[in-house]
Amino acid sequence: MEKASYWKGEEVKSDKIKYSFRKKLLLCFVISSVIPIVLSCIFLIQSMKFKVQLDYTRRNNEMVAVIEDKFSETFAEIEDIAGQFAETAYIKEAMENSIVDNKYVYNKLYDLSSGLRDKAIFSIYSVEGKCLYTTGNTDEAKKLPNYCGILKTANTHRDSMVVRKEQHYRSDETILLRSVKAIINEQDEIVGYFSAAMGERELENILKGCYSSKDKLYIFNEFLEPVYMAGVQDEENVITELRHRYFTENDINGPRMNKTVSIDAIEDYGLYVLLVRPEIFTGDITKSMYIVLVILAVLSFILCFVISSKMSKRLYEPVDILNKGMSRVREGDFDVRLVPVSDDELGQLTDNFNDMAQDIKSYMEEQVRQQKKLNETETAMMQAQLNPHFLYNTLDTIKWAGKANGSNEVAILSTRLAKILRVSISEDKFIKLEDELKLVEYYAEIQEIRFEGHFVIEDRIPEEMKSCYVPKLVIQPIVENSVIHGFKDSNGGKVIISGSIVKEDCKEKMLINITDDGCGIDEEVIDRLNDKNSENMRGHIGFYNVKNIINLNYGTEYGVVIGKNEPQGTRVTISMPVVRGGEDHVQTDSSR
Amino acid sequence: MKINKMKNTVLLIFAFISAACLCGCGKTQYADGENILEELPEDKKLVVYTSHKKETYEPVISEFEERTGIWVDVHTGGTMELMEKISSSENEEADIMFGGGVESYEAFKACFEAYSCKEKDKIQEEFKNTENIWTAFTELPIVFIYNKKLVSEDMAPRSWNEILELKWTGKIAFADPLNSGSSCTALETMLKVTNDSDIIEKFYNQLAGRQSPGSGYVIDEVSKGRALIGITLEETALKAIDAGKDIAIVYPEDGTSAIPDGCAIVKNALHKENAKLFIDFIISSDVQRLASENLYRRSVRRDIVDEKESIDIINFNIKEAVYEQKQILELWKKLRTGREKK
Repeated sequence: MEKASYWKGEEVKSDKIKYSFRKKLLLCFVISSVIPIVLSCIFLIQSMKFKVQLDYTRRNNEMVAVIEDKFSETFAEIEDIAGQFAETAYIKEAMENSIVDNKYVYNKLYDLSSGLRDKAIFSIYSVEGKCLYTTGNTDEAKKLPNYCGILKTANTHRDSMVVRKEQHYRSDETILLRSVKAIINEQDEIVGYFSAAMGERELENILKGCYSSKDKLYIFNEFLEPVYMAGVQDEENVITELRHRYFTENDINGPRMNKTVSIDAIEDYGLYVLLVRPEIFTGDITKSMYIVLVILAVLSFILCFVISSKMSKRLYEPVDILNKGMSRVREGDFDVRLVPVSDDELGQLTDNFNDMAQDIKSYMEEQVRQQKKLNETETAMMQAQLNPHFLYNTLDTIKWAGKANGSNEVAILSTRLAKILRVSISEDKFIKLEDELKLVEYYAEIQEIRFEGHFVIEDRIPEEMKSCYVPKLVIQPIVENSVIHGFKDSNGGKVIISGSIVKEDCKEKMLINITDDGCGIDEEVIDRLNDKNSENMRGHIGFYNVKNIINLNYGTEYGVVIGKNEPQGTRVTISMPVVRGGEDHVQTDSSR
Repeated sequence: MKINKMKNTVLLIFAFISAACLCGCGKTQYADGENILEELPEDKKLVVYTSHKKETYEPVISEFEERTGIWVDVHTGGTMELMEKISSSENEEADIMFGGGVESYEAFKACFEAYSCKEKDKIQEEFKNTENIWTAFTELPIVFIYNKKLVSEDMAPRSWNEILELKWTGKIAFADPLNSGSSCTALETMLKVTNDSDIIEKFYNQLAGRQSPGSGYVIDEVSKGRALIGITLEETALKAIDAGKDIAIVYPEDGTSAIPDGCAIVKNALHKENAKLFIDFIISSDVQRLASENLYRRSVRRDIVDEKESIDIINFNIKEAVYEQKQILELWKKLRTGREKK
């Protein structure tokens, strides 16, 4: 195998193809890998967020419930203390008479409130609203109006403890929340009020441990007015906004991006607890998760790109080589051989290509050889030509000499020979069949004079065939064979020339049969003569010549076949295409 | 190839949609706020614009809420600011304007709707107005204050004329009348009481450039000793004293005026019925008593006994007052620019 030849010939066409193939491959890779990664990451992130958020919200609600419980508990205890205090002997009297600074009362007060004094400031108010006793600072104890505010409310709700946001009449007040229970005597009159007040410090103590420093806790009254705010101090605006929103839109949940809000009601006391905890998935965390996602996507895209490049290269390289090889073959270089780069189908393709190139080469060489042969035949023919004029003149002289000397046979011999020679050395390669048959006739006449034997040549060619063109001197040699070989042992015979036109594969084929009833030919010889591949035998030049002329002119599908004639003799069939007048003669003619 | 392209685009679109849906999935979960708070019916709402201080309006409003169950949405701001907002075409929400001197209500008369409160007959004569555009809530007399540590009781000024004495030059705390309604009224009072047409100018010179941005600052100046005396509202002074500041009050012997602050229903209010309830409420004896006993103000009702010192109150014809105020403010502005030129 010759060495493979590569060169950077026509790059343009192959580049275009390579590019779109590559793009397709890349797209497939991307779709099958990057997109699933991205989708599943997003899904993962979102579902994780969702789940964690859910847990977090639940926990927040629990926290709020705990706070609610704490309050309820504390208030229940206070109410209990109030009850106990009221029931204590002498208390009611002291109240009725507005006795102040009584040690007994104070002791009782301090005693009962001993467990809760860090959670509330306990005070006793007279019916008029004057503070009689207090566990807080005496100078801070303010006078409460009894015709409005919490005392009035306690008045109207005598049997229960009321809890209200403290009304501030001055900006420096510290109490935030107050619970009051009216103390009623046997006559069902109010003799005083039991109050437990809570400032910031007390509320802090109640709520200790219920929330962390990052949380914001709000206590509201039933009208959503803030009573207490723990955590961040300057959240007043958020609260007023919240209330305003509820007021106007009936919805306290506004667009607050980063917070989780839990709200619970402290039943029985008309208070609400609102807990705002920081978002567990802050914008930062989410952002960094998405950054990771993006990095992953980019990395996988790069990977896809690299792999698809390599893959597409692997695929298009052999195709490219093949492409270039074929271009070269088209240009006429049949020595191109390609080295297969892989064992797979592409490698096989390369091998097939090589075989094909080899076949083409052989075919071309065969063509050349045949052409050479034809040329040689023609050359031989040409060499055989003598100066025609000389021949004619001589034969003419012979004829006249014959006629002058009274020899008719000489005249006939020479004229007939002249005619045969004329055709034989003319430049026309093809003559009409009727002219060829005339040649046969002349030959017969000559042979008749030569030999004493008598043989007949019968012309049974149909009329329509006679105008067809045949190569010259194809029938005559065959007839000559019959005469020489067939009739050599006998004194004559009959040669019948017949023919027919048959249709084969839409082509018209002309068959000319030359049969003699001579001695026939051996089976062996027949086979050898018919065999295309065997060497030409000596002594059968005429037959081979006719065969070659037919093959070279018309190709191998036509030719000469020899066989036995029944009951005896030889039968030769010449097949050739039907060529009527005016048509172009076949291929080898045009190659000249 | 075309079918392939279509398939690809469809796939991509599908991908994006699913991604977007998933993104939506993760929105913040809010707790059950909806379940806790029921919808607030419209007839349980009231929107109040107020220029009162928190310690003045909060007790009144929370008492109103407690008694009626009506939710009040409070919007605070300066008197002028709020009135301008009400008068502008943008206003859609205010039902009540609460606070601010009644002369402001006169000026913005067109914004308010007349309402004659139920207990109108219980109100003192001088605080009634026949047009019923506004209803007076309380009155706040103008008083002198002095620093107890630096000024003895007998040295303290007793009358408006005494303010002009040399010993007080540059030592008077007085709010800019262009900002403070009470200061403006004080100037008017000065004019009326002394009957001296030059008194404004004289007083201006007496200030010698010292001016407080608002009436609240007057207390500060005097109690910290930067000024020796000051002119402010009784309410502010009493509060400060209760809070332990070292100042004392002098009620001008030649008389002083009291500025009634008003309340009115805004025209085309959404919750008119509730607004009417509110006006009736602030006139009610309980609230008036609260204002008198706890809010350091003076009731406008006839039947409320005030424990504060009785004073000789000069009251103006409101309409006159509005006109005069304009004159005084013009003069004051001229004095200021004149002074700066010097």
